[in-house]
Amino acid sequence: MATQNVLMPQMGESIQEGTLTRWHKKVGDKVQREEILFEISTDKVDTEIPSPASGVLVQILAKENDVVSVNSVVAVIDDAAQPGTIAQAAAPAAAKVSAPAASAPAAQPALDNAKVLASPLARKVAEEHSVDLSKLQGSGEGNKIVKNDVLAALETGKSVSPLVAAAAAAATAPVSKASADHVKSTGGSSEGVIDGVRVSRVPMTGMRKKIADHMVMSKRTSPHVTSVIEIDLQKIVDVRAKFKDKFEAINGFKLTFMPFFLQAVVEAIKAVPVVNSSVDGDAILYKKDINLGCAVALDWGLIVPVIKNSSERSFVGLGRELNNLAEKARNKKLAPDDVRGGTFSISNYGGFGTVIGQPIINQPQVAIFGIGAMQKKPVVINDAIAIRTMCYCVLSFDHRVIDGSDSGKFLSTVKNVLENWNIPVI
Amino acid sequence: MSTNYDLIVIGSGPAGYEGAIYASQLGMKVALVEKEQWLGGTCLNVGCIPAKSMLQSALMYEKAKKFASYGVKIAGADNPELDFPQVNKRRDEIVKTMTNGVGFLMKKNKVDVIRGFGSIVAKGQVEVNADGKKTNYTCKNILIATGSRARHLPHIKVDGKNIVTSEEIWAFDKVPETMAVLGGGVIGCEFASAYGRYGTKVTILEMAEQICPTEDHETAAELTKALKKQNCEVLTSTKTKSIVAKGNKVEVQIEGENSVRTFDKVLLSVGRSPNVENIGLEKVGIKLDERGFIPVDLKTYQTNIAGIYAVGDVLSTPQLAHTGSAEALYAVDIIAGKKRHPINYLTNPAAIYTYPEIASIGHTENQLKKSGRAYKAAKFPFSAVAKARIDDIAEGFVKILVDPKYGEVLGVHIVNTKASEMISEFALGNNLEMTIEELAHTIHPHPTVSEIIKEAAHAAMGHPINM
Repeated sequence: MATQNVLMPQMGESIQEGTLTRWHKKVGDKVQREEILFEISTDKVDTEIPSPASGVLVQILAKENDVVSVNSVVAVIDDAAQPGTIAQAAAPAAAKVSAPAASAPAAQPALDNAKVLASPLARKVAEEHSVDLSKLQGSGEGNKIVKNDVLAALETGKSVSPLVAAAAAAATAPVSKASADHVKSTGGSSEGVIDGVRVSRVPMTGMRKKIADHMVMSKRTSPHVTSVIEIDLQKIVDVRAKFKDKFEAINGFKLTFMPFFLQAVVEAIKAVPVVNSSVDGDAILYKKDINLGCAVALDWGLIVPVIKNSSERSFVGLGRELNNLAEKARNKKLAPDDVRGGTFSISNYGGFGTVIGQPIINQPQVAIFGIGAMQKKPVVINDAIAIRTMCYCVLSFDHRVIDGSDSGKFLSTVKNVLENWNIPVI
Repeated sequence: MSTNYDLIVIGSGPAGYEGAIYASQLGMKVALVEKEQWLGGTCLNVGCIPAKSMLQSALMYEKAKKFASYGVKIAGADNPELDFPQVNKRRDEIVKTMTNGVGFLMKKNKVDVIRGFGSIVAKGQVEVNADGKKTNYTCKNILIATGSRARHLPHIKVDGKNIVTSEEIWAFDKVPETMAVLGGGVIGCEFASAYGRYGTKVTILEMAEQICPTEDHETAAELTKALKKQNCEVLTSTKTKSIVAKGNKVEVQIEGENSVRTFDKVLLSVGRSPNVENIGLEKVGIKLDERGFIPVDLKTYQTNIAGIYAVGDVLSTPQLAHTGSAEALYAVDIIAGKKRHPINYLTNPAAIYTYPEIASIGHTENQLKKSGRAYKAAKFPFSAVAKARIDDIAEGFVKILVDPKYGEVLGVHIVNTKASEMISEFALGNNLEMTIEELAHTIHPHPTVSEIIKEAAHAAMGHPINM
């Protein structure tokens, strides 16, 4: 009998864990290679994971809603087992596979707490609530961090994001004041009154928690500066109006404004390569590939699929890949590769009418481009007032490696490409 | 002898003498004041040490009866005879050796021993009254370690002959036929267990619902069962109306009973009172708490007066010799300017040296229930441990109470002849904030009695191995 471990896939270079949201099979079920086995949710992607092998699912090691580290074993498939006979035999099977499960870097939390002097109990509490032990002062013998230090940190919110801290504190306190006195709990949510205000308390989803953590981490890591430029999009509007029907007839998908921006950003990155880098200790890691992450808003959150090798694609190629990825994202069909390897990100908040935004950098990248709403405005051209479609675009950048002059050069390149559009669209 | 010290310790019990030694080792000039002729306090002279010697004699007496079962034939072993004067002699010799040892340690560590009744006259001033001769000593710091004494009750006249406390019981020159033990706490149960096995018909009268009221209910139930096999009648939820010496007997009237019971001896063991009288607390403005103990800051053991510290039985913390010692070493560290992590009393073990022994640490199951805290309880019997069978100590169990979320060990209760030795592993573990996994994954030698700890830990994790 040959067994194969099913691993939690790596969903992106900065992603260490994900929430296993749903099993499509149960122990004892037959499963085909590439058949959808389970679904996961990370801060960047909700996706269905296909089975790596055919056989019978003999063991499930992670329950639904468990947060699982990447590369840890979540299930075992046996190619020789008989379907339906496994349920009772699950225990011995578990014993046999426990060794690889334990040796995989499964139980490692995303935080590197290993080198900190802390009691085993303090570590457990810290692990559950994502507390960074290196940020705490130990009150135990020899300044060892003890359980109470971690609980105190959770209470004060030190070393964890405020959002995580609030959730964690509520989860830790056996009887919190509010829930004991005023809040009626129903399942994971609760209703009640806190400080005279009627409230509904709803636990964050796994995806929400991860977004919160990632955003706080980014703000803590990079000193953000945001520059704004105003761009005249009239030429783009005209080009699009002229070619959109023909474009759709030839290519099979709609011509939106996004490929124009993608193309302009690629040109700007080529002009200012430092925006396509990351910080590596005391060095700057310049990325030779331009992989544009493009945030897509979903009903249940936000994901950032990545257009690989953007600089090598044609205008149509950029548009087609973006269209494919957005479609996959909405249908939860994104593969791990689709969200991996981004080197620069674009956020299009303008679709909801927002004029100017200050997007947060998607770590470990060093800059993010934001597109505001397109609006018709009276503008002065050659000393005359004209009505043009205008838009504010921004660049949030990591001031550790990018200066205002770089940002200015980047934004003006984007402006120049868009205002003087001369790239064929068909 | 100088009259000026860095530290004067009043009281030479385990807290006092160990504190004095440590302070001297840290470079302080130290004096130890003791009112009695002996050193070592209650523990060494009229408490723990002689009591355990009496209990060991009882154990050997019991074992002697079982020699044949081990395959050891000794003439007359079926009916061994108890030589009670020798029991007392051996006990006194042990006490003498140990108290001499304390005297030696004082010399070795250059601690001045001052005989007489010490009292605080003012901040930094101690007066020692030795048979009416008063001498004043000055010092930078004072450590009060005056300990406690057996508690008396107003309606019971202790005559030291037939009605005794744990301080007079040592004078018994023969084993009484009958004895009432008023108070089923630690001291009462230990004497009941010893004398019951010597052959005395013992009656324990306890007011609470269980003997050893601070212990886990299952522990108390197991001990009750064991004591009954040792000639002891155990009456709980029981009050006495009167205890009166009549000639060579003592008449005891129990509430709710019509008849009066007659005993040869009555042991009054209803707790201990702190020795806080006449030591000058009022002169410096130290007020006692509502229960009569000296209030201190548990992060320094300093009283409300700077430079005056108190440790041991005069505090409301557990009245145990090892607790007092730990507090004294802590206070001395503070006096020496060292930083210390406060003592966590939940990692403070307690032991009762009955047969079988009881040892515990942390919370009892009822305390956890009452507090509403979630817990998992696991119990593993010594009867499943080979070495316990070999050693003929297969009675009792290890009970572990665990936090189900993080595996924190919330309480441990051991009933077994080796309980007092085994509890230290939990004291260390809890002090290091171990979880149940570390305990279960610690390799224990086999065969040993203590490997039950690993077994109980596995049981607490839901998968007992050898059961």
